[in-house]
Amino acid sequence: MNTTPLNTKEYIKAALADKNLRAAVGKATGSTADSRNAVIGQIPYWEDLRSRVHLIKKDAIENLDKYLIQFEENCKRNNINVHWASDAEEARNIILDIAQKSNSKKIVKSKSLTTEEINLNNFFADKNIEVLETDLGEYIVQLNKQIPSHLIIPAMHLSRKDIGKLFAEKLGVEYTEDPAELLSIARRILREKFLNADIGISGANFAFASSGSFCVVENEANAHLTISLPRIHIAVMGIEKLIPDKKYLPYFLKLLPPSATGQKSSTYVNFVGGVSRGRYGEGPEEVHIVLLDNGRTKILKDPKLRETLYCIRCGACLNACPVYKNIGGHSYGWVYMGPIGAALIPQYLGESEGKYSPFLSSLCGACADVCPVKIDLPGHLLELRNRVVESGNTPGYERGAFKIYSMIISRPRLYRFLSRFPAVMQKLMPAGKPFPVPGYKEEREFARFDEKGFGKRYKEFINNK
Amino acid sequence: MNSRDKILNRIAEALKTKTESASDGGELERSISIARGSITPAGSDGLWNQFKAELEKISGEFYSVHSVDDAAGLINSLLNEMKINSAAIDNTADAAGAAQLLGKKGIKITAALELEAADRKNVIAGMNASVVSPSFAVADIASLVFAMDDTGTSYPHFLCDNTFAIVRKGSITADQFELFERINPAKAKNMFFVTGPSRTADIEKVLVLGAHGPRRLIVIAVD
Repeated sequence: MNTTPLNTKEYIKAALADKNLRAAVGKATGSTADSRNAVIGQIPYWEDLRSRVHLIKKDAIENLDKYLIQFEENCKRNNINVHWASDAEEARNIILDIAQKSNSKKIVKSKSLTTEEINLNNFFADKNIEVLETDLGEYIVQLNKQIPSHLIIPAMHLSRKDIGKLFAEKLGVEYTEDPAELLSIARRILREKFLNADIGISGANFAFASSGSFCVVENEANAHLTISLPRIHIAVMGIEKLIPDKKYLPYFLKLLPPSATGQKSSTYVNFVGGVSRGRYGEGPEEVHIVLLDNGRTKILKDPKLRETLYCIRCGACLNACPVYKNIGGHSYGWVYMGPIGAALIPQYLGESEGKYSPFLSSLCGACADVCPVKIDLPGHLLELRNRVVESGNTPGYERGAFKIYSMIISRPRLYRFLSRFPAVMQKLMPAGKPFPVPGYKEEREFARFDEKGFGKRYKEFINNK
Repeated sequence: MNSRDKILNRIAEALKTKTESASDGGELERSISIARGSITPAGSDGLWNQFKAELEKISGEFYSVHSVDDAAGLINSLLNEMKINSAAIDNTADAAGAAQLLGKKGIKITAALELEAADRKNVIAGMNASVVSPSFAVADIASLVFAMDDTGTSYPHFLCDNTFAIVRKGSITADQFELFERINPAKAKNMFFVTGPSRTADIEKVLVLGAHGPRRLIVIAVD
C-alpha cells in the first residue's frame, strides 16, 4: 500500500504544484463547510451543544479506567467478547486469531480509521484472507493502493476521471466517469461480497459504558450490511471512544453529521448490543470488540494534550484548515491528517517521526472554531511546536535564524530600523511579481510587504479609535 | 501481566494528574432543553409536517393516510407504477396487515422470518421492494427507528431497492432527546436509525442515492 512517508517536504511541494489536487480538495472541503454552516444555522443551541459535549468527553476521559471496566462487564453480559490490545501488532494478531479459529477466508470492512491506524489490510495481504473495504471512497482508495486523504471523504484527491480509469483497469469494466454508474458497478460487486463474507469488521463511533454496546454512524448502509450479514462481527475501537451512557448520544448525533458531511443527520446509525443470530436468525453469532491503546494512554498521561483524545473524527477541522486545503491529506503522511492529524501524529508516532506535523498549520484558529467538541487545536499545535524546538528536532539553520530574529525583535529601535528594508527592496521587483523568498513560488505566493509597517499602522489604529 | 491490566494500569497512572475539573451544574442541559422547546412545532400535526419537510429535503417520499388498508392500496399502486409484483415484509403487525391486502391484489409477499435463516439474506437480496414498520419516527431529522425486537429482521429494509415504511402517527417524537426518554432501553440494544435513502457523495461530492441500501424510501404515516 502506498502509505506516503511522513511529512516529506518533497511530497508537500508536489502537492502544492498539483493544481488538480488543490482544486479537488478546495471544492470538496468548501462545499462540505458550506453545508455545515447552513445546517448549524438551524440549530440555535449549537454552541451550548459543543460545550455540553466537551464536558461529557472530559468526564469520559478523566474517568476512563472506571468506564472501561464497566463497559467490559456489560459487554460480557451481552455475550460480546472484549479484547484488549496494547498496540497495533497485538490488535492485528487478535483479529487474525479470530479469523483463523473460525476458518474465515472473506472479510468485509466498513470505514474505520482505527483499522487504518493499525494497517490491517496490509497485514492480511499475505494471510490468504481477503479483506475488502465496502465504503465507496475506501473501496476506491483500496483499489488504488493508497490510504485515505480525508477522514470522511477518503477519495477526495481523485477526480471522477481518475476513478473511471481505475475501475476500467482494475475491475475490467467499460470506462465511465458518471458517479452513478461508478457507484452501481461498486454496489454490484460488493453486494456479492457482503452476501458471502465470513467476518464483518467495523469501527465504533461511540460505545456506551452503562449498556456494553456501541454504534456505527454511516450513510451508505455498508456498515449495516457489514454488521448484519456475516456470522462474525469484530469492532475495533480506540479506548477513547467510550462515553458513559447512551442517553448522551443525542448530543453527539446533533454535532457529528453537520460537522462531518454537512448533513442534519447521517442516514444510518447502527446499534450493536450483543449477538443476534440466535435471537433473530440474522446478524452476528459472535461479536468481538478490540479495545485499542496504541499510544492513547501516553497521550492521556499528558494533561496539556489530553484533550486531543476528545476527537470524534468528524473532519470539520480539515475542511476549515487553509493548510489542508492546499496540501491535501496525503502530505501529512499518516491516517490522521489536517489539524487534528498534525496534533496526533507526533503524539502517536513520536516527536522525531512527527516533527514537521505541528508546523502544518497557520494557527489561524479556524479549526478550533469548528471543532464540535471544542478542542483547542491551535493551542495544542503551539505546545507541540515548542516541544519540537526544545528537543532540538529543528534544523540548525532554522535555530540560527530564530536566534537572530529574537535578537532583533527584542531591540525595538533596531527592529524598526531593519523592518524598513524589505518594503524598500520590494520596490526593485517588477510589479506583480512575487518576492523571491526561498520556498515561495507561483503556487505559494509571498505576500507583499506593507510600506508603513505594523508599528505605524497600530499607532494609527489606536489614535483613530 | 496481560494487556488488559497493563492498559488499565497505564490509565490509572496517567489519571493521577487530573485536569481542572469543570462542571456547569446542569446549566447547559437546561439551556439546550429550553432552546429545543422553542423550535419544536406544537402538536402531532406540527411534528408530522416537520417530518415531511425534512424527509423531502433528503429525497425521501411522504404520504399520510387513515388506515393500514389505505397504506396497502397506496403501496399497491406505487408497486404497479414501478412494475414490481413482489415485496418482502418484516415481522411487524402493520407490515403483515398491509401484506394481506397486497396479497389479494396479486403482489407476491415474502415474510422474511418465515424463510429459513440460512436462505433469508439471498432470497431477500433478490427482491426489489419491502414493506416495514418502524417503532418510532423522529420529527426534526425525519428519522425512523427500527428496534430489532419489534421488526425481527433488518434485511427487508437494507437489501431491497425500494422500502415502504408504514409508521403510526402516535409514534412521532420531537427529536432524539425525546426518543431516548421514550424508548425501552432493553429494546434499544440492537436497533438502527434510518434517515432517508442510502447515499454517497464520495466521488467529487456528487450525491448519488442507493449506495448499498435502498434507493427509494417511501414513508406512509397512518392515523
